[in-house]
Amino acid sequence: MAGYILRKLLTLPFVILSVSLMIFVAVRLLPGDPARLIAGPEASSVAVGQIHKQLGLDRPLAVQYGVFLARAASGDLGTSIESRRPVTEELADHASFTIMLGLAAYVLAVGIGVPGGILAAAAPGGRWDQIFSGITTLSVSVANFWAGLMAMELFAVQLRWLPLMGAGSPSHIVLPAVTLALMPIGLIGKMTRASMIDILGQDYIRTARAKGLGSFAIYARHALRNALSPIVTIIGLNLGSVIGGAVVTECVFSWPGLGRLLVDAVRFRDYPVIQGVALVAVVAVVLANLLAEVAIAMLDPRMRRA
Amino acid sequence: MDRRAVCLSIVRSLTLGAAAGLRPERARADPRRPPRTLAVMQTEGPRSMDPADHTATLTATILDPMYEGLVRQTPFAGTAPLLATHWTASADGRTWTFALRDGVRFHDGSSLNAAAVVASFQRLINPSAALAATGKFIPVIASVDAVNDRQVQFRLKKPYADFLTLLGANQASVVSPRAIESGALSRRASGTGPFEFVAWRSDDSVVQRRNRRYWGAPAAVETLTWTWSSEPSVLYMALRTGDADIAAPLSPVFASRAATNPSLRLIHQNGTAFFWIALNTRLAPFDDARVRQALNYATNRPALVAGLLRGFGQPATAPLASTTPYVHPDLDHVRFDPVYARRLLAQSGQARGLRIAIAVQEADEPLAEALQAMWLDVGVDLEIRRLEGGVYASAAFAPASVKDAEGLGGVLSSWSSGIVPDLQLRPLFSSASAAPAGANLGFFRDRLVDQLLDAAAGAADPGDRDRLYAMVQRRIVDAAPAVLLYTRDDLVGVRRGVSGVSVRPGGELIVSTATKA
Repeated sequence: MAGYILRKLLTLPFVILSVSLMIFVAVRLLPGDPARLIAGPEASSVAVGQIHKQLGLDRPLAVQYGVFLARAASGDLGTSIESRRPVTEELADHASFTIMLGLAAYVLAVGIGVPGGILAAAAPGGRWDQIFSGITTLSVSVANFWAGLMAMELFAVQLRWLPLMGAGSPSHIVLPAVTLALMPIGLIGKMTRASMIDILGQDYIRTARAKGLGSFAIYARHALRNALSPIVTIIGLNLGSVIGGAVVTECVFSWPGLGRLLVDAVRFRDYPVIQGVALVAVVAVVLANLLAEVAIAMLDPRMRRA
Repeated sequence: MDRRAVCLSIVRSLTLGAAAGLRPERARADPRRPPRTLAVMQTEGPRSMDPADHTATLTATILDPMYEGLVRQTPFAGTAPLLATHWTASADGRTWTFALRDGVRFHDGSSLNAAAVVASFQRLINPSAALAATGKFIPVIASVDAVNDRQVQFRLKKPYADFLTLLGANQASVVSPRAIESGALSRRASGTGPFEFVAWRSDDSVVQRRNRRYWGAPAAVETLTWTWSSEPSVLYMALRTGDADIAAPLSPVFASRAATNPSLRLIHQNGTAFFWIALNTRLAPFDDARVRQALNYATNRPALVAGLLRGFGQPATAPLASTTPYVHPDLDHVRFDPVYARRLLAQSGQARGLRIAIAVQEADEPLAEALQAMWLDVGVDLEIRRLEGGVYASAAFAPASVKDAEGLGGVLSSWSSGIVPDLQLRPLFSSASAAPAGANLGFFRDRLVDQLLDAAAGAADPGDRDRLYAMVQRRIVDAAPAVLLYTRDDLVGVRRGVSGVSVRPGGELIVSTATKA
């Protein structure tokens, strides 16, 4: 097992290196000139050229990438073009908020999706199954920003139960976390239901029933453990879409996380910040997938040999 | 704004609108926020804490309570002393001497003297400083020197009648020399204003507290907090919950709601945000003035204002905003006359209609779509090239060769000059500022316009200036390098109980004088 994890970890630097090149190129392929955006419409072309030089944007791309890599290796991701602060500082300031929001959304998604899906699978076609199908279908279909705005209008403006926006107190996280959790609740719920129905129809479950096992033992020990593999996979794979959702959710709720930082950075073509946020997101997704693989390997011994 | 915003506005009118009427607004006292805190919300955050390194109105609003210039521009009342108590100009208008106020200290404790003023302005006229606002000052100021510890002298490159107005701009604020040296000014403000800097958390908030050592009348509120959201509905919701005491700029949809909401008040005044389409005067058939005039006559400006701005705007009547001094409305030539437009097109050999492609920012797409329908009536087929902000900026400032190659006939754009006619007409219409050097995005070149602009900018006598500006506006309307559209009003939502808030022409909000019941 340790060897398996180690092998996976060893590939990590190569994944990150190749992704860093892709991000670097993609960011520079974005049309639009950061110097013009910084200088504003009233600036002369001389001033724009000056800023180009100051930012090192007048150098060849390969040189810029080399400088970026050399600095990144020593933990320096450059300086934000817009705020003129080190990118690592910007990331550190915002990352904790996104991690908090993402964790809260995940806890909600797993806490609602998995039990809800199991209950739905217990009696397919039953009343709860129908209600749960409705909820999950709606939650994967509704756009994040729309749900967020509706939640704000209802719970913050009309009912005054929760704060509207910002990140001042624990109650501030409720609305954005629920909004962000909608999509994964639906996906995890649907996957749990499908996977459980599949397993519950297998022969060994019938055998377990026939030998008189109680339904808790059947569900918890026999069915769920086998049904978990695809569920864990979807939880791991979902991190990418949760990060994507966080971008929108953070903007709607003025939540000072990486998503809001990224949107502003794209608006001003703040290359170093875009690269920094994208890199953090990639590392998070790669690590989450690795964690999911490890978890599956622990659940299912057959996977360890793969 | 993008498609998202468009669908949102439909959803809003269907749902939020109905919901908004359900229940009277109640203010919720926020336990975390002490009283005497004033919360202001805008649509974007600050670009910098250094007044010399931005040209954005919404950044100027945030910096205004912390910084002061030599003089102050009071709304509609001209120039008043601020850090300078009095000043004199030489007979030729090229040398200006300012006497500084005594007993003024920067927030970092250092005192205001001539050296500080000189240091502040030398950055603004140093082309290698790479600061965003240098473009405004380099063409005007030749040098700035200390006469003695309490007096500063400016030498101008040419007589410039709007010099005092320029000095009243946020970018001309005097900053602490110690802060310049530290290099931290872009993140930590240090001026002489009635509020001092506390914190700037990027993508979250700016906090300012009352300056206890302020030389003038102390501010009435203890703390100012600034937040921002690009989502127009969030601004309005924040006003209703009390998360914001002041929110600006409101979109027309929410401004009309704020006007009828009993717990809110709408500040509504003519603005200077001027919208126009720069026509590519080098690209056929738009190199023919008659075609450009025809597009102007085909434009129903009052309908645009009524439909898109819900009436919160002024149809263009000249190449200047209605609030700018020396504006000369030309109702004879800036009017809607589709019949005449068709005749002009026929005269220029375009009787069978023509096609024009224009670059449009996402937020202005509805305006372009309205024009598309209007112009179709006279046989003009408008192709909208909708571009994301950064892409748009590159396309708009592209040189003629690029625009010609891409067949770009025009750029829909907006400009806010404040109250200096020269800061609008020169960047937009003088041949020296043809893109990419400046914002003359259609490469308009007219020797008479150039000469009149120089003469008007240097004329000291208001009567002469008025005459010269009348001539140049007439000439621009005649040559029609642009389709003039409208100016948007300044719309500010304020909670009841908050007073003392005003808006400078140009849209800059003044909140340092505000009180809160």
